[in-house]
Amino acid sequence: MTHHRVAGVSIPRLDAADKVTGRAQYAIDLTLPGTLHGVCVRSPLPHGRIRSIDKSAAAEAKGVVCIITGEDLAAMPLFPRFGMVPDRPILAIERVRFTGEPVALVVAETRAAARDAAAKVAVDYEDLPPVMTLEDALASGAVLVHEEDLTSEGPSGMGPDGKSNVLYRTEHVWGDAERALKTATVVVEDTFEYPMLYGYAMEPYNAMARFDGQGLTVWTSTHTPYMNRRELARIFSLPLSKVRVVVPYVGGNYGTKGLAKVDPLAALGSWVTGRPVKVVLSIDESMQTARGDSARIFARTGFRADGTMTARIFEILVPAGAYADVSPLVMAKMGVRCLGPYRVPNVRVRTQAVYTNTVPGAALRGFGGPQAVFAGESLMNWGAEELGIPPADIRRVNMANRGEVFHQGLRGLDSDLQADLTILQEELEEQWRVDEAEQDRRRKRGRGFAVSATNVGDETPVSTALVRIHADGTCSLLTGAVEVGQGSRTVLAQILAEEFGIPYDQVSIIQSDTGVGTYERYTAASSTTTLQGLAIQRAVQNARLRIRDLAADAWGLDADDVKKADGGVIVKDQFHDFGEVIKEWFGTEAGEVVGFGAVRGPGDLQEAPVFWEVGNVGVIVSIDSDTLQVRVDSIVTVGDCGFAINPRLVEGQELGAALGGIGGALFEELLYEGGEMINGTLIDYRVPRITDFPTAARCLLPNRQDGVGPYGARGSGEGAIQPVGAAVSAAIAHAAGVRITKLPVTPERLWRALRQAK
Amino acid sequence: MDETMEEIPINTTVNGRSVTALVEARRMLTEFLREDLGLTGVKVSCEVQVCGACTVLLDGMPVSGCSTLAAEAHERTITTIEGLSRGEELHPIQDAFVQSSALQCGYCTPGMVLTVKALLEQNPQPTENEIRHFLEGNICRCGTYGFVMEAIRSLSEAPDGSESVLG
Amino acid sequence: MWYAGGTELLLAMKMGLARPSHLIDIKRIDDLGVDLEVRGSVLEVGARVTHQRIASDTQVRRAWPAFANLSNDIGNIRVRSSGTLCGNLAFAEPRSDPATFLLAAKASVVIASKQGERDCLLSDLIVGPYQTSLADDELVVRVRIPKRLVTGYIKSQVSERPTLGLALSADTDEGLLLQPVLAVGAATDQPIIAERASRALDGAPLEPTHPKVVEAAETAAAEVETFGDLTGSAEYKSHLISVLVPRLIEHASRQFLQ
Repeated sequence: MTHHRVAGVSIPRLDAADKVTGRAQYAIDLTLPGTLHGVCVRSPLPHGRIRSIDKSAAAEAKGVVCIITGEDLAAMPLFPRFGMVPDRPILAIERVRFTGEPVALVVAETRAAARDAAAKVAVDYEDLPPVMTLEDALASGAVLVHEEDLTSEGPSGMGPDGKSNVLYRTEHVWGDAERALKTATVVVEDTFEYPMLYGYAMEPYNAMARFDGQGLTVWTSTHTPYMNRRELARIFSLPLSKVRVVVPYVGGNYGTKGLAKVDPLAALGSWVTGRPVKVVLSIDESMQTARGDSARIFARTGFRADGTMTARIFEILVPAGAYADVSPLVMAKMGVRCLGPYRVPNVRVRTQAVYTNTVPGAALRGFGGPQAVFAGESLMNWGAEELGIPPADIRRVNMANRGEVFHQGLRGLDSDLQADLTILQEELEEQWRVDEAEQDRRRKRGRGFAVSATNVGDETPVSTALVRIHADGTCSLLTGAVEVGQGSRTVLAQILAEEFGIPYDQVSIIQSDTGVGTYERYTAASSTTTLQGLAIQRAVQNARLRIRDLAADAWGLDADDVKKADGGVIVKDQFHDFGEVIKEWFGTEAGEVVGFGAVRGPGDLQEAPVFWEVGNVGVIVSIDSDTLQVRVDSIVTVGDCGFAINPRLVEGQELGAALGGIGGALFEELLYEGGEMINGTLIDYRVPRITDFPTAARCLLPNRQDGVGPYGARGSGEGAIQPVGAAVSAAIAHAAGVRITKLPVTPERLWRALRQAK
Repeated sequence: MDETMEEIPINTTVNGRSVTALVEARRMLTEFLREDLGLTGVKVSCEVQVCGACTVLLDGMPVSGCSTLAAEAHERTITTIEGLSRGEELHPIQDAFVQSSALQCGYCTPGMVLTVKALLEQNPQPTENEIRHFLEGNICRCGTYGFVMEAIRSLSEAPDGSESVLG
Repeated sequence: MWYAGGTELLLAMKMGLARPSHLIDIKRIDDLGVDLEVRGSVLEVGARVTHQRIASDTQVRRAWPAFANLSNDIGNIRVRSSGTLCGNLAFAEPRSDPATFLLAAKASVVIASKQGERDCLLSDLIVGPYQTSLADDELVVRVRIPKRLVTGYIKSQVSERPTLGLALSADTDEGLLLQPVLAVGAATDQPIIAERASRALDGAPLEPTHPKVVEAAETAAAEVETFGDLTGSAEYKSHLISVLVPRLIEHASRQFLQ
């Protein structure tokens, strides 16, 4: 194993001092002199036609500067909609499609004044029948959520066609699954339901926008500043060079802040008023802005007597809400992730997302994986049970080995999941024995585990990095990658320091300002360490070439006579740090060298996915035999990220993701009754607290250095959330003897399941 | 509350400095601290006393700034996260959070640190259950609870237990 | 409108459910009488006393342990630090832990107005969900909680509010419950006393598996007309009553033996 100086070391987070002192600034903390504040009037109906809007009383209220409605918007020389499929109007035009949809934007001198005035905007609606469920959406002659055909405006095959509520479909077929099931010894099947979730990034959606001579600048809380830039450029017909998106620290992300959410509202306000406009949603409003996709998954798997699979069939349905957001992609990922890291000779997977009159479904940590893996891995456990094979063994006989292609058309497995499974099993066994000592007679214990392999890393990766070497020999990185809490600032600094061979406190990381940093497609899909890491390595290589040339030029040598060294070069057996080279060449005490690095698909990381992010999670649960409350007492994860550049941060990502999974497995669920969300506050939507954190939580890091990224690293952060639903279900089945098909397993659901089983 | 509600004069001590201000009767402590005093370390999130992001210490006890009237601060002492460190020198609790990487996005951190301060002042050597009970109302959506508990243990297990690490 | 901790009122104001023109902060009123005091065998809790104060008071912890414990489990540390007992009762939140316990404990409140003070049983104060018998100019100034030998409170809770709360108070004679009162919270639109179950417990030993206790549990589950909410259906809450009454007895027994 290569010896690294700072890669592989758990240095303290470089953003920690800012964050513990309150100095860390988030978008919500920023205001410019003269900033106005925008507050939305929201639809009280899930589906309706706007007959008229009376803004006269509100317009006269104290402090109000302007009130913008969808009708006003439609008359403006703007592209009024946004989204990957641009089906979402900035403000509802003629129709409202979910309760909580912005109908008007009130802009006033203070937020309180805007709020007071918003209450005075009177909107007259005509009720339309709402499409709330999959059944409503798929019924023949169903009411259409979108009546227009927008299929030509987004990616191929996506969007409303004006004839049905179908948003997108995918299919994966090989072999003959139906026929192969007939040859199986055991066939297990059921319909699994995964809930709508609220990601609850603690910093609510917010943005501040300003138009000036430079164009449009937006300060916002997002993980996709370059995508937001493109959205804003389209709305206002601006070239990319005239749109700047600045992202300070982000207070919670988990995939929920991708694509523009409230940036268009703030920008619209500023465009109309000519002043900076800030729009800050409350958490209740954020819950009415985007949510994690739910799914209903019919799954069927056939096994031979020895446990090998003959075929898998999945029919995945996703009620995607009123607008596409990234639901089509989330659903497409489900279609791959449901199969697991197994060789399956016969496959038929069909997915379908439909429009409904609910809050738009969108990305959430795991991006379709938690839904799909819950179904796929539950069937692995059931198959094992019916065949009388241990659940680890049934996986082993089917599991792809490292390097083996197991999903047609995709990269072979790039990690040793078989070895990971052994580690997981041993640790879980150990925890089980430790736990046994402290048994409570009123609680029944059970254990279970599940694994996953998910196709993350962008299919057509684009990542760029610009490094600067300053005249004192220190270095900076300009990057489009966002610090969303995952620790990118720290890990990227470690890579930069490692590559240049200088101490990490001599580097600085300038992040996520599209006006300054170079292009990064997004901070998503667990890809930053891998893709941006590679881009940094290449940028450093590029900068070192320049340093070499400068040194050769300055000292009158051939480039080959300049030797590479940590933090500098060796010229005629004499070490010169980078600063000396720069100063020598510029002939003064100043100057600078830059290096650029890029990662792309064609001829580079062409094979998709860039890597498989794997998840290995085992849990021990205990169930109160009276109330049927379940708690996760122990959790074990194997964080196989190839190489942990900062082990502590990987551990934090793994356990954080796993805890998120526990929320979705045991209590998190957005509920609708009729057209209304009925638990849309943090009082009623329960997220994991410190008391839910397992008393024993362990993350093991195999560090086999088999990843495609720097030093053999690959992504982390979403692997450990994927198997949790199936692992918790398996543990509950072990403890209580019931099969779980619907998450979350609330005490009442478990009580009902047990009563039914009797 | 009525929009015409009057303004109330208050004298308060914020992070050791006395502050005199006129606040709208309906104004919440969070708004007063963030907007009038620029103390943006006080975070805004759930606004229903569940999450703890807006935690400040009022006479040493944690309260939700989002659900406390600014007028409450009259003749009382407020500590926000900005009042903990002295220049570049971190408070021991802050330092423990840094050393344990007990944060990710950091949005819950100011409230979490202040709540831990109140906990350790009342109970310098809390058991794990006492820690969980005291911090149950501080949500960390990134799920750093395990590291937070490590940070607290590193403080309460002071070398010989003779000297409090709390300044 | 009167205002103390603001826990419930400010929330209601933010949601637009209450729009008072003035707030009177009773914490600033000096002559409200007692704060926290034991008079003979009665605990008196004044209008300014927070849940946290009750939870940490040594006298309460010793003589009213169930009450101290439940106070320590209300909401979270911030709610306990600012929320007051009197405020909680005057707000009549249907899932209130202390209201359920104090109903079982036969507590009463002292209500003050310009006309003077009057006593009122808690059962006469809370008349419905978020509804009390208080007149506009009246204020709950203290709560009086008589000491009983056996007390207990347990709850089942997943979200911010309990799914079910169960409280017991009783005297004893040679280990048998005398004049027991069983109260149920979060099951109906206000905490109520399970009258038939209370009678069924009369003379029962503090043994969770004793037939009288088991029968009382079934009686309670049958007599309380539970309603469903976001935390659980009516049916599930009835189930909880039946399985948790024996647990309440066990819990009360442990506390009694200490």
